[in-house]
Amino acid sequence: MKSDRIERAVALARAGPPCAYDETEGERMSTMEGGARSFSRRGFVKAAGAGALGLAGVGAMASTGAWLGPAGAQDVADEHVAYTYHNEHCLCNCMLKCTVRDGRLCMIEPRPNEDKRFQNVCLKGISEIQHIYGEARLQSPMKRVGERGSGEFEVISWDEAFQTIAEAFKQCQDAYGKDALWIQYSTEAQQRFTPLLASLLGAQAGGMNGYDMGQGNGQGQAFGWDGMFAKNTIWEWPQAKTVLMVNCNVVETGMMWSRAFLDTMDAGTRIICFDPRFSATAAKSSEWVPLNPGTDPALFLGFANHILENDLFDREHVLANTALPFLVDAETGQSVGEPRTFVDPASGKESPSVRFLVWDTVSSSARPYDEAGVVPALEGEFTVDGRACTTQFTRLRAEMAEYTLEWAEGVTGVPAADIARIAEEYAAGPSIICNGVGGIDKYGNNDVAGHAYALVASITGNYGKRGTGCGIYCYHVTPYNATLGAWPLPEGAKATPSTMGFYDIVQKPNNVHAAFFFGDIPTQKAANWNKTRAWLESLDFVALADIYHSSVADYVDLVLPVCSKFECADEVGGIKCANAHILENQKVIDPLFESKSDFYIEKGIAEAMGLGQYYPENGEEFARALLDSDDPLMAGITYERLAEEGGAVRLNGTESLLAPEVGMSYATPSGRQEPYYENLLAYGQAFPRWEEPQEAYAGNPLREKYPLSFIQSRSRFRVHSTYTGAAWIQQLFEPHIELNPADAEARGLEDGAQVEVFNDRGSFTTVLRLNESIQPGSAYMAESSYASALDGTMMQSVSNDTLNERGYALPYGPMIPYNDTLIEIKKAGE
Amino acid sequence: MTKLGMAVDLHRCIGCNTCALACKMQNNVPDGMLWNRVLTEGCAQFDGAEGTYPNLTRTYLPIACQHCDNPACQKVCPTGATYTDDKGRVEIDYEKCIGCRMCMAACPYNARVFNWNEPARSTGFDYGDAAVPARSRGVMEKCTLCKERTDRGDVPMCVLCCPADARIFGDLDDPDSDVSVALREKEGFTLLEEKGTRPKVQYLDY
Repeated sequence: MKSDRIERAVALARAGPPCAYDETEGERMSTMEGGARSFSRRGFVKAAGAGALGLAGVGAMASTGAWLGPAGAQDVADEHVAYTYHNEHCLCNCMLKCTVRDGRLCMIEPRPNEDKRFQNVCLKGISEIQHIYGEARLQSPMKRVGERGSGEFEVISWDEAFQTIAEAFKQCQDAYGKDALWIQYSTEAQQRFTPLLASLLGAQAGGMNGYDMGQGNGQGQAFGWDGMFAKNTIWEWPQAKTVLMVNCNVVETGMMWSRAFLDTMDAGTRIICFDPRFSATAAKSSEWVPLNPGTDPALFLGFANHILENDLFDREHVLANTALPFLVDAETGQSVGEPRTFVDPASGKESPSVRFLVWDTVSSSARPYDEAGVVPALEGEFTVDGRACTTQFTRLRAEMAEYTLEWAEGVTGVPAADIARIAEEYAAGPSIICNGVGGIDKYGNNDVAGHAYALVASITGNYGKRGTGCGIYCYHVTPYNATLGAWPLPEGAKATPSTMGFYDIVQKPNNVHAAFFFGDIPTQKAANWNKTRAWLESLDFVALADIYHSSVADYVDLVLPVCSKFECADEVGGIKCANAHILENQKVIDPLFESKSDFYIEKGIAEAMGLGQYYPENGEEFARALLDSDDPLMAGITYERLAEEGGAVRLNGTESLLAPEVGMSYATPSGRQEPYYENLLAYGQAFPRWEEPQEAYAGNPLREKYPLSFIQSRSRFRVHSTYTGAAWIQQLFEPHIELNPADAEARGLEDGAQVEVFNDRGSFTTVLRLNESIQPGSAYMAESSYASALDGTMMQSVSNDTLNERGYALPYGPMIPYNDTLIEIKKAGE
Repeated sequence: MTKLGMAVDLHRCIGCNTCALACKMQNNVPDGMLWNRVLTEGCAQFDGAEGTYPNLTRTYLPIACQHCDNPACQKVCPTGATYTDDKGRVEIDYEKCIGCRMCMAACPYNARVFNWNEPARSTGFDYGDAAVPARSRGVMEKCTLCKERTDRGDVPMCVLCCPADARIFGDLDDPDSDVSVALREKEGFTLLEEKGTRPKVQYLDY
C-alpha cells in the first residue's frame, strides 16, 4: 500500500521536479559559467573613477567568482574552524561551527553541544555557504545618481559615504531638531553590538513594532505579563494532555523547536492545529481544524460559551484565583471598592484601582476580596451602597450567551460538534494554548483573539499549573535571560523616544525628515507600499545599510554594504544572550567585498560627525564591556572563555529548561488572574467581544470586486525577505502565490501562470501555483521577496495598512493588518 | 559484516530540506544538482497535499540513493564504475565512469545526477569536505552515504543536520544498532519493494 503511494511520488520526481538536473538546466548553468554571473542588475551604472578606489572590478560589479579568483581543486592549504550564531530573526539562534578553507567559508555545521536541543542548523544556515558570496550581495557604498526608484547608483568610497551621511544628518537635525532623524535597525543587518548612534545623536530609534504582538496585546493583561511570551516553556508540553496551536506554524518557522513538538506528540499529548491553510504544522499535528481566516476570536468565544453553558469551567479555581467573583457596577461595568493605586511591579507605572469587593455569602454583604473568612458568591445581582452590582462572572455569562456553537460554526466554518468536542477536551486539561505571531496577529481583531485565549484558560484552570499555559512558546524556549553589560555613553546621550511606530511615521504628519535603516525596514515593517514609497520620496535624505540588495535599496539616496554574521574586521563582531547561552559572533572570515559591520558603519559616521571618541576602539573592547555584568547567570563567562569554548557558554545554573511552576499569584492589581479588562469598557472589550476583521470579513461588499482573502506568512525558505537572493534556496523555492485549484479554475488560471494580484491599493505580479492546501476563497503567499523576484513589483502593494484605533489603548500599540486584505487575481497583462 | 544503512522517519520529517542542502554542501555538489531531494508524496507541488480540501494529508518524502542490496544501477554499468563496497554502500569510481548514463535510466528512484557540463558553483569555489573527490564533466554522481565521513566513523551530514531527528544511521547487520531496532520495532519499509532492489535506506511511517 505504502509502496504504491511512493511509486506515484517517485514517478513525479522522474517527471522533472525543480531540483532534477536536466539538459535545459545544464545549458542555463553553462551560460552562467560563461560569464553571465556578473552583476547586471538593472540600472547600476559604472562608477566613474572606480580605479581610484584601488579595487579593480568593483565599479563594474564583478561577479563573486571573478572577485575571488578561479575555484581550485580541494587541495587543502589552510583550514580553520570558527563559531558564530545565525539568525536571531527566526529566533532559533543556531550556534554554528564554520570551516574556512583558503579564506573561504566552505562548511557550516551545528556547533556540538552537550544539550542536543541547542545543536542546530537548518537549510537557511547551510545556504549561507553560497548566499554570502552570491549575486544579491551589496558590495560597495553607492550613491544614487538617478531619480529615487530608478535604481541608478554609482560606487563611492567609504569616506565619501560617511561624509555624505554626516552632513545630511547634521543638516536635518540643525534645521528640524534632533527628533527629525529616524535610525532603525532590523536584526538581519546587525551583529548584535548595541547600536549607539541614535543615542549619541538624540535621534528617534523606532517606536512600537506594529506586528507580532497583537495576541499578546489581548492576553498578557489577564496574567500581569511584562512581555509577550509564555511564562513556562515548550519543554513542559508533554505534561499537557492537549496543546492548541493557534496562528503558529512552528514546524516551518521555528523548525529547531519542531523536535519538541514531535516529542510532545510521541509522549501522548494531542496537538490540535488551527489554520485556514494546511500548513506543515497542520500536517504534522494530531488534528487540523481549518477555520475561516480572521475568525479565531469567534472560535474561542464559541469555546467560552460551550464551557459556561455546560458547566465545564473550574469553579473552585475561578473562585479562588480569578477576579471573576469581583463586583462591578451593573450599569457601567466599573469595579466597586475603596480606591487604591496599583503599582505595576515590572514598569513601576501607577494606575488607579480599587480594593475589589466580593459578595460574601456568609455575611450576605459586600466585603473586600482579600478579607479573611469571606466566602464569595460567583454569580448574582447585589446592591452595594445603593448601587446595583453584579459579579464579573454574571456579566461574563450574559456576554458569552450569544456565542453559541451554531453561531461560531457560522463565522468560523468549523462544525459545531467539533467546536464542542475540542472545547470539552481543552477544558478537561491540562491544556496549553500556543500562539505564534502570524495569522490572526495580522488582522484588525488580533487582540480579541489573545483576550479570548486568556479567558478560556482562566475559566478552565488552564493557566498557572503544570501542563497548562498560554502565549508564545516556540520562539522563546528558555526561562533565562542574562542582563549583559553596556558600553558607557556620555551623560544625557539617549535616543528621543518615538511617540509613533514606523507604521504611523509613514502615514501621519510627523517631524521626521531624514532616515537611516539597517535592513529593509520600509518594505517589511509597513503595509501598503505605495504609501511607504510616497513617504520615502518625501524625505530630505534616506540611507540604507544592508547585506543584500533588498527591495528598498532602489528608493534610497545612499546604500552601504554590511557584513554577514560570518564576517568581521575584528576577532569578535557581536555578543548576545539566547537559548540559555552567551553567544559570540566570532570572526569566521574577513569582510567580503567592501562591506563593514554595523558597528564600524556607525563608528565611521560618528567619526565624520566628531563623535568617534565615544565608541569602543574595536570589537574586542565592545565585547568585553558587554561581558562585564553583575548578573550571576553569566558570572565567569569571559571573553577568553568564549574563545576557548567555541563561541558559546551555557548560563550558570540553567540545566533545567522547565520554568518554575507559574503558580496562582500574578502582577495584576488583585494579584489574581484578571480576564476582565475594565480599561477597555469604552471599546466594549472588557470581556472579549466578537469583532469582524476590518476588510477580510465575510459580508464585505468589497468582496464583489476582490473576493479573495490574501494570507501571507513566513516559510522555511525565508526570514522575511532574506534568502530571496540565495541560489541554493532558489533551487528549492521560487516566489509564487497559491490558490486552491477550484478558485484557479473559476478564473481560467493554470498552474504556473504569470498572474497579477491586485486591489485598490496596488498590485504585484508573480507566478501562480495550485495547491489543495489552500482554503477556497483565500490566496496564500510566503512572505516576502525582493521586488527583483517579482518583476520589480512589491508584494506589500496590496496589503492593508488601516490601524485599529483600539490598538493605541493596548500595551504594544496597534498592529498592522497585513493579512486583513482582499484581493483578486488575474492573468498578468490582461 | 558491516552493512551500513539508514532509516528515514516520515512521521518526523518536516520537509525542511535541511538534509538536501547539508548533502549539497558536504559533497561539493554543483549548481543545479542535488543528491538528496525532498518530495511531497503524490504531489507535483512541494508542500502540496493529497485529497480535497479540507480532507487532506501530506507526507514529505526525502529521496536519495537507496543503497540497494540488489542495485539495478550496478547491474547495467558496463565498466564496473558502480560497485558495492565492503560496508554495503553503493559507490561510483569516477575514474571508471564513461558517462553512458545506463545507471541513471536503470535507477527506479531517480537518485543519480549527471554532469552534463563542466560543474559550476555559484560560490566561485569548492565547498564541503576536503576529502570528497572532485567530479568532472561527463561523470555520474549520487549520494555516497557520506563515504568520507562514515569511513571516519561520523554519521552522514544529512543525519547530523536533520533538525527533526528524522534520520537514523547505522549497521543493518547489527541487530542491536539504533537503525536495526527502529526498523524492526516501527515496521520499516522500502520504496518500490516490488522492484526487488532491496534498499538499505528504508523508511518509517507509523
